[in-house]
Amino acid sequence: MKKSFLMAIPFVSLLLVSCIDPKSLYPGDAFNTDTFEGNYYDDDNAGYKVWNEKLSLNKLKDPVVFDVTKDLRINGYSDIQFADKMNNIGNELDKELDTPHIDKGVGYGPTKNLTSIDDSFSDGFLSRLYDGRLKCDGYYANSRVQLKESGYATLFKKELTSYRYFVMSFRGGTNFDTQEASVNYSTLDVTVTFYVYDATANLYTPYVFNMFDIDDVFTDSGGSNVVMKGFYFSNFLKGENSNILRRASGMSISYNIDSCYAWDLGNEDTKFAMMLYEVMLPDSTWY
Amino acid sequence: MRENFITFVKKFDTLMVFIVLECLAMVSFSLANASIIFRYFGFIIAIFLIPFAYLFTSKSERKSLLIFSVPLVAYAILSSFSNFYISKNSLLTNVSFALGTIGFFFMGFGVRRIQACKFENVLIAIFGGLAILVLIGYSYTMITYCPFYPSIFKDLVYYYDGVLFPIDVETGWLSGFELISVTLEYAGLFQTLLATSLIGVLFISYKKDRNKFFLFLTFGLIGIVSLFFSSNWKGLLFLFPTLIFGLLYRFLPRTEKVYKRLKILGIISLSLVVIIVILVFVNALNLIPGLSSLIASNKISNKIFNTLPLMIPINQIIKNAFTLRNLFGYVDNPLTNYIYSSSFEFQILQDGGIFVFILLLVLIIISILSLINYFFVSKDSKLIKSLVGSFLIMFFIYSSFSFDPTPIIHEPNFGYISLSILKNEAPTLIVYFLLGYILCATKKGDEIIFSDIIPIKEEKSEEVEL
Repeated sequence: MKKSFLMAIPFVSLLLVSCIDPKSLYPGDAFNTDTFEGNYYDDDNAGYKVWNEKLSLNKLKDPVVFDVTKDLRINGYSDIQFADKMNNIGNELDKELDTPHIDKGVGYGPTKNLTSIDDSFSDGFLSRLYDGRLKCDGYYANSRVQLKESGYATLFKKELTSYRYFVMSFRGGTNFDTQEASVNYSTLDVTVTFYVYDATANLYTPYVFNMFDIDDVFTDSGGSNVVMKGFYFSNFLKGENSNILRRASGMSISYNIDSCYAWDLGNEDTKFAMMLYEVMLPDSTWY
Repeated sequence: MRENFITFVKKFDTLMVFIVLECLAMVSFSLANASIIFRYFGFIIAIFLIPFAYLFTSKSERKSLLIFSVPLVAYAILSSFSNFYISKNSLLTNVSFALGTIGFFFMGFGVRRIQACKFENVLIAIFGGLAILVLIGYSYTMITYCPFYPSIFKDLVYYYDGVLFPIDVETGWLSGFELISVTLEYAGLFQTLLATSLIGVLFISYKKDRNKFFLFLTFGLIGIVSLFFSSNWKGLLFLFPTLIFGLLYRFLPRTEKVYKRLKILGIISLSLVVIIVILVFVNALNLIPGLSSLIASNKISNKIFNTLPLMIPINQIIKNAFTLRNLFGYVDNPLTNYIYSSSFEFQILQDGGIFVFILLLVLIIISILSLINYFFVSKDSKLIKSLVGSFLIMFFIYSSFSFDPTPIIHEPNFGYISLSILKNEAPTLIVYFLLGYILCATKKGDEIIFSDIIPIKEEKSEEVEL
């Protein structure tokens, strides 16, 4: 009997078998094809499934909307007020944006990125938004997520427990061949939404932060020309509302195109995409 | 005086055996990934085994020890303090490499000189440690992935920390107290080494010793099942040479005629290997331009010496190694031109330089001769001989063709920590231990017999009559 048990050990493990989620697997060239249209992140594997099944409008409470006006926005690295490690990061100013993945813990991106804050952000395709690479650093398409106007939505594995500010790093991209190196701009209205689950009502409450008229979005000007936009939560969530984003477990980003340089040049068939490099909630905590 | 000393030393033999067993079991299990501690620990144990080695070693055995020790000590020191290791590791780590190599070798030599040591138990400790390690890795793999995932999800990728990883090359593994992903090749070394314990089953009588039979069968099955369900076909393929060795050793008639044929076959095989190695160097360094062109012009020889995936990095390593700059090991920092090879011998050539490589070749040749000598001279049971032999053969073959210097999957920047693996890891330390153990007298009858020194009670032999 005992021997049979010993013999069975290698096979007992088979009973423990679960299976890797095939939805987290992709073909090697997923969203990195030769065609611009083929690289939009719009498959059912992640973002849209979350939209449809979890965060779709009929399951949401009325949104709470905040208007992040230009004067309340973070418009770049220089607008960030560091709460801690100011000196360490300040000494690495040259790495404020160009943040090779391997320099984890050095510079702003790899220090303040979500993966560094919590390992739960390491898994999945969207982990490229949390890895600290704020612009193209040689990984090209592997650094970014190419979004349509409908954007993407995601549910986090953990819940937000404390937060200071939000920053996203992105640029515009089109299938228009400029034929010349130039700095081009587009104007976008970007909407960032956080979702807090209300267990009693079985609904998500969306907290919407609108950043309208962002008119300095580099477009087709190379992967190293990106814009950093964001806001401090304390400017909007005050007093008894200061903790309303606690337990946020979902987020979405979408945008509208106000103007695109290629359209202004008369190429109205040109496809546009937001090339999103990084989404950050620096100094946040998760549980 | 001597008798008093013997009596004194004998008091500690059981304790020493216990410590050696503990150490080997922990090393095999790679407990806490604390190999640096075990390397020092192994050296300290070796020091305490000196009285045993001094008292219970015959002249002939001392001669064998001396022949092996000189290149081994030189290899241990030169390789541990090569340019590459000096630039990458702390002094404490490099000292541990040297002491660990020497310590585990002498531990193996010393343990043979302890009368109370039943080597079967030592092997059970080694395979037991490996079995637990492999079983944990295998269970984690089955829970995280699924059976045959490399075949089912072939060519698919997943993302971790923003980086793309192919799923069909990795497997779950216990590293210290953490479950991580490593390459199939890396886990395969442990799994195949564990699977060699199945060879032992050929030499145990099911009727006479069921416990031992089932124990080795279980160890072996854990190895094979883990290879099978992680679709490591290459690993399973590597089992064939040891299987052939085991079957030949078990069933081949022991006649003078067979020995002669085996000897001829061995000499031919060894000569062939030597010729191929020489050709590899001549071709890579273009020492005879005509010969290199000749090799390149023929489809088959070009494939073998130039375009085979195994050979491309080897040729590059040889070219880099034969420069004044890299004479004592690779020096560039960062590792811009560092080459990753599937052959441990050439990885050592790159890390340690030409002199270390030559010493390694000398050690390999002496080890082969020592193993042959062990099979013919030693009085060990066939079970022990077959297990030791198949373990060493498996390590050598697997590491020559499927060695993986960068096993950790989610390691950014291909951390060089992985590169120390040859000196760092359980299988290597156990191999040093076994090489020390197989050192014996060069002639029958020259071995030390404990009963000549201290009378002992006769024990019943558990060996199967063949």
